[in-house]
Amino acid sequence: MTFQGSLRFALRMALGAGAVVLVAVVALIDRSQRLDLLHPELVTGWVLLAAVVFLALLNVRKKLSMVPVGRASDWVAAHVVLGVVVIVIYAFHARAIWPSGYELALALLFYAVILSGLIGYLLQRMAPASLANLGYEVIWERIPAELADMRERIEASILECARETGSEVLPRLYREELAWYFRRPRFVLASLVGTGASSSWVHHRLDSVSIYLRGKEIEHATFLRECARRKVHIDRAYAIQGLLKCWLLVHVPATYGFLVLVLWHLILVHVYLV
Amino acid sequence: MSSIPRPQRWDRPFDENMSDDDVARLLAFPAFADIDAARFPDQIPLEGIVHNDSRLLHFAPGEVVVREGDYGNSAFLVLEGTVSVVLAPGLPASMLGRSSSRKRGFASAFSQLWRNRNDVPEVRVYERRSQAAASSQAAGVTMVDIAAVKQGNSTVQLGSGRIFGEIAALARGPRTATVIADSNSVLLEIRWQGLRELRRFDAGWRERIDRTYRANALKVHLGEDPLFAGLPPEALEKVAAATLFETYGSLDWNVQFKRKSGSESRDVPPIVAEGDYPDGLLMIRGGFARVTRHIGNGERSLTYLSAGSSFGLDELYRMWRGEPGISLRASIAPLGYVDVLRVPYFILVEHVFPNLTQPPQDNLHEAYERPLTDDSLMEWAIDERFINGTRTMMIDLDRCVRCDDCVRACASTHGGNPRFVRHGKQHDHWMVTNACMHCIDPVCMIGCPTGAIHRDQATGMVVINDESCIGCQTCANSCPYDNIRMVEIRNPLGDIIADSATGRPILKASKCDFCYEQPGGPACVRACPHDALSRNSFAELAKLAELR
Amino acid sequence: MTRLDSPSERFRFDRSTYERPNKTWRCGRAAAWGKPCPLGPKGDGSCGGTTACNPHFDEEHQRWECRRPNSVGGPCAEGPKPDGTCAHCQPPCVPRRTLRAIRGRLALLCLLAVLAAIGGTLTYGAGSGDDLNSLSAGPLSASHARFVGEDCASCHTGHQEGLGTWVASIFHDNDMAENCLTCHAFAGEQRTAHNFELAALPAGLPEHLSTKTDCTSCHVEHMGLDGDLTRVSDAQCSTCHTVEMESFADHVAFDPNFPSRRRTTVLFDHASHLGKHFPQAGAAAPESCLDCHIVDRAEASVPTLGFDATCASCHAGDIDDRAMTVFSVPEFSAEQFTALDHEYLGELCPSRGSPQFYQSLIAARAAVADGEEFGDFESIAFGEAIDPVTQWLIGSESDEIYDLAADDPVVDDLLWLYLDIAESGVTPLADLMDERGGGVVPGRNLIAGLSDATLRQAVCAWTSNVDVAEDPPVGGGWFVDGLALRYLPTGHADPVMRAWLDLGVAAPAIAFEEDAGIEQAVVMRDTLIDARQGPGACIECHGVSLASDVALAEDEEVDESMAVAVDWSRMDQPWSPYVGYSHGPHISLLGQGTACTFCHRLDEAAVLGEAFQTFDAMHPASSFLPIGKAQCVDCHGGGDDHQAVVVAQGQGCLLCHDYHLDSAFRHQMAEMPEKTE
Repeated sequence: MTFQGSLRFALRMALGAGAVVLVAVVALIDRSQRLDLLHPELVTGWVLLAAVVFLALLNVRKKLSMVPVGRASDWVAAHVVLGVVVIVIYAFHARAIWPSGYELALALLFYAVILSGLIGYLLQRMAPASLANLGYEVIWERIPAELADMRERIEASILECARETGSEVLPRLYREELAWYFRRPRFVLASLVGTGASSSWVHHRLDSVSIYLRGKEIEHATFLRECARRKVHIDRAYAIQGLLKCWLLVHVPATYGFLVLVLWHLILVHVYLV
Repeated sequence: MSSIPRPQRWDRPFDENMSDDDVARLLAFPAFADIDAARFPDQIPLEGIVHNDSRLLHFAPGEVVVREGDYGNSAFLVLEGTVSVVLAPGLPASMLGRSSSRKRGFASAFSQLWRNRNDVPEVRVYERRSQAAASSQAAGVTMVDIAAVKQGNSTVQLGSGRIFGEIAALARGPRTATVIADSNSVLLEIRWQGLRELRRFDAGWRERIDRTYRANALKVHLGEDPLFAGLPPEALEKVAAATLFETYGSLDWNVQFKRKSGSESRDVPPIVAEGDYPDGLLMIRGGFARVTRHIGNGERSLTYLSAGSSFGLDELYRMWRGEPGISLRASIAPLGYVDVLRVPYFILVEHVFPNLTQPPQDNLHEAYERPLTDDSLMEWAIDERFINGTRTMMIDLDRCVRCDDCVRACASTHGGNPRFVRHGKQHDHWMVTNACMHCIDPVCMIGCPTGAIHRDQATGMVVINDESCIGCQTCANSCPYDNIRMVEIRNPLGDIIADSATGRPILKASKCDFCYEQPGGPACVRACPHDALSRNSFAELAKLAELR
Repeated sequence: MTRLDSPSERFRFDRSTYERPNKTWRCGRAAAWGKPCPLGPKGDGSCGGTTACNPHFDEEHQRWECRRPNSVGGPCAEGPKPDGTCAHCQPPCVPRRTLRAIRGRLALLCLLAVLAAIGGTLTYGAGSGDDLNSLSAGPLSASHARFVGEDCASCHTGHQEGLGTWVASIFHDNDMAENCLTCHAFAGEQRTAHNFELAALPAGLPEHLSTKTDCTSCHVEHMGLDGDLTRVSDAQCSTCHTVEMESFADHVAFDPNFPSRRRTTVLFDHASHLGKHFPQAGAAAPESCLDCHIVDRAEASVPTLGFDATCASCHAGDIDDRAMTVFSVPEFSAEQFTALDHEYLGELCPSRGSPQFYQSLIAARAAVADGEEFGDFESIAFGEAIDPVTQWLIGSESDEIYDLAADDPVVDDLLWLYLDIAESGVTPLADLMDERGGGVVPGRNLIAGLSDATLRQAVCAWTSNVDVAEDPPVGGGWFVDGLALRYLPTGHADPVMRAWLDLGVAAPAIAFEEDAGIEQAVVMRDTLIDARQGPGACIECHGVSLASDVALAEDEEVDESMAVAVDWSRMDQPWSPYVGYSHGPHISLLGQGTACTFCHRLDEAAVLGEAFQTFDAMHPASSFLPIGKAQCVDCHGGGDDHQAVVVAQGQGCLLCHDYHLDSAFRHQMAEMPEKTE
């Protein structure tokens, strides 16, 4: 392991240890304050607020990539660790799974953020390998262009086929079924799960008409198969990359809502309780 | 649509202050007076080259002209006075007063947050073009005690009419020696573009430059090799005289490479073949060579050689010790282009082997015994010539979540424009992205007519001066890895800026500059949330083994 | 034959341009899975790709030239139209936001939605306890709702302030408990644990005892009309009382004397009665506990039926014949006696003695003055020692006054008292009692029922040297017995007797206060409470105890300075202000009368009388064995090995314990302060 690598490893270990210490300190304070009939919610609440603000700062860090403010991977590691710590502190703070009144909204937003975060973390851990194993890397934003390009080539091939052979098989197949398939990513859910539906759908259709093909037509059909194979990859890449982006559609907006409601909660608690 | 005149090659001369009188005096100087000006094409006249691609520099005694290790893109012609080339052992870095490259301050870097244009790509503001020229002398004057230097080092004095600095210019590498002015001297610095044209259109200059290059390069190289380090100067002279300077492949190897696919590039005749009788030590001076052995019906790469490495010493040594039936255990073949110094066996017997206290070691055998698939990444890197890269951007696809944070970070340090495409060739779970690798041998620089693409003096990063780039696409075409992208520039309103004469969009070459001006280094690495992106040097074999 | 790109083709510099994930807009055609145009949307979100290029007019050849960039395929075959427009025109697309831009929008939307929801619900159903309103913490408990209604500010002072103050309140302490104390009050400190007087606590207690308590630590409001603010869980007690208890069985052991903290108020020895007397009493004896105790009204204690319904059947006679002497006539010397204004007395007492008698008395006085013999009047009074009550009353240090000088104030006052009584009846006597007794017991009460005539006749007789002898009146009352005024009690709880005993036991402290006549007061008290005579009959059963309900320290003795009182009424004797017990539910459960002995087990060896030999009542004494924790645990233990009926019984802290010391309201309803707006 390189020096940088071991430094990074030490940093991660320190993060974990720090998290354990933080949880322990909060637990001790919570207990001792409860014994003194004080409001440990005050301490846990402020700690929670500080932690949540730090967690939200990751978004700021991402916008500040032009200045050296620490490696994003260290930030994310801290984000994940603190995110788990926050669940524990929240449990100390709230002491109820389903509170009543507006605090239910607060809790629901918190759960949405935490749950989406956990799911996101797992996704980020598991999804990349399945993308890498596709062996066909495509940039998410380029998927429409790739598909359009593929359609153009297929249509040119099919026109050429019709011109050369006068057969209507491939043009009909394309018009009747394959045009739909190549229009956009299909079988998204199935691709996500990996059932192979996309692949079997298109290959079944190509197989079905193969008995009508002769000579030059077979070459064009082979090209279609090649395109279909790539389309299957694109379907799966689209599904997985989409999922990798979509969890943030919950995580980030819910965070904003949560932060606003937390501020309101902070005010209300201080006006009405302590 | 807004339009400006298309930038031209000599819009930005090397020295704005060069006068016609200076040019006339220079053309009368013997080195130029011998040139047949008629052989130069109309659009690149000799006079134009002297006027635009060279500049006059004045040095006081003791002043450092070039520093060893700096990256330079020019050669020098001594007009008046003498300069000394400091050979072994060289001056300490502290004495050279090397300037670090100018970096932005934190506040300046931070201000990119709001100064970047994320809505319109490739915005350029063309008001009045600044007159500041890229100057290698801008780094500041450093004086040394010339007597003391000569006391402790072997030096070579160069007088009027001599050329130096051609190694860095031709080989696109760092300066190999420090040069100090002996007396008040006047030098003509000719930038690579001018040197290239002189070399191309005048046989005398070509012969002269190449001869100087070979002689100097050979000496410098031998002097630096530990094998000959202990030799007295006279012996070293003998070695140099006996050593052959061989060049395989062509300097513009990239042209052929781009035409072929990776596997085709393997079919290259070897320099020496496995089983051959070893006749001398092969030392790589520049470029790359592959070391292979037969396996089955193919050739297995055991390692690759780059500048500084050598081949065959083990066999030669054992031959000297009298072992019978010695032949080479592996072949070496050029990878594109390679400069080889062949040191004959008898020289080694005479000057080297008697002084060796330990038999030389190499690990070719160990390499051959490694499991077959262990080196697949290296084979791939060799085939794709990624071994050229010193800052190759690699993404571990097993970790990458395709969040594009690296691309956005890149845009945030380049005025809102990314400077790489998160896409590239893949091997297993590694992707080498379309980002400049900052090659050991940056062939992109060969054809640049203006010197816009150059190596940063201090860091050696290959960077493009956007202002002097004329959008000729030569560099982009030259890059074997397609890592330079031409962009259509726009005005702040978002209109594409076109050439006022032809209406064609003005293009600019753009590529990764390794954030060489940014505090904190490459933003892409820093921005990767999952430690998936790294910038690696493939020159380090150990690094490859680590990544595998 | 068309082929797909070779992999290397896909990365060519002139084929793949930079992707710009930092942009806000993407091509509308791409969004609809069409072919994206290479120029892409403009920065303002409008379409930037209606034409493939801007054709250029070549002046030299006088024609338009295509300028389509190489990245899109270079100049097109068709070339520009004659008018100089691009041949590849297409209607503008509607660029769409990128997923990331949508995410930003969603974030903003979510932020605004939360703000709007906060604002919207503030006005919606404000104060009605609607859950949606973030200002509504839920409906108040019934009692608070009645008093406070919807005036949040009466507890939450910040309620009516502006947002600025609200934000500032984050950095201020808002001590809401003070607002609770506007109405609620407690004995002891208001905001210490258990309302302890911290100064009075022994040293060395945990430090957090001195922490200011906060009502809201235990009492949770806004739990609805049915919400019980006093419902406090055992866990809350456990925050301080950390002795771990799985169940009540783990409770610390009770005091070995529990529940007897002091002797009873009335000396009723259950052991001797049940063991000895009742068997002898025959029909008069009670058959069960219920014959004396009223279990229907059982609470902390079980009241008894009272003397008349219980004790009287045997003990009524013990009271009837215990007459007490309130005043007795001392023996005067001739000198003393002749100082009396006999002429005037003669006028006041016409019915007693002839004028000649008084004439002779006057003559005798004169003779004495001349040093002659006194004749028949050698001794006027009847030679009796005066009783302690009279002694205290007239302030005499001795039980005879014969030897005192004629002008001694004691003698003088007494003679004047005679004269006053003869003149005005009982009032002067009552006044004197008031004077001597400091008004602790009104003189009127002390001689209640004594008529002017009776007293006046007695005085006239005594001054006439006539011996009056009356029989005690039937059923009790005042009577003159020779040279003494006496009282026979009418029965149990006779008010005059009570008044005298009250006075008697209080007299030493009063005298101590005035630093005069202490000795007489002590003698009087001891005489009055002497069980062998007079009112001592009461004291046979009623205890006489120090008024302060605190046990004396070991080296401390009862002295005159200490207030003492008779324990007339049977009273509850709470073990501690923090411990409560109610008989009621137990009797209901166990059945009346059948199971008193379930808990109360007679201590046959107990001798109760000894505990009554002192004024210090604070020593445990009971005819019953102490009740230990085990007896409670039988039912309240909660373990598995108990009968089903028993497991159901509660065992929470609050079943027996109170947290506060005498909770009360600070104001009477009439005094509730005006609400301040």
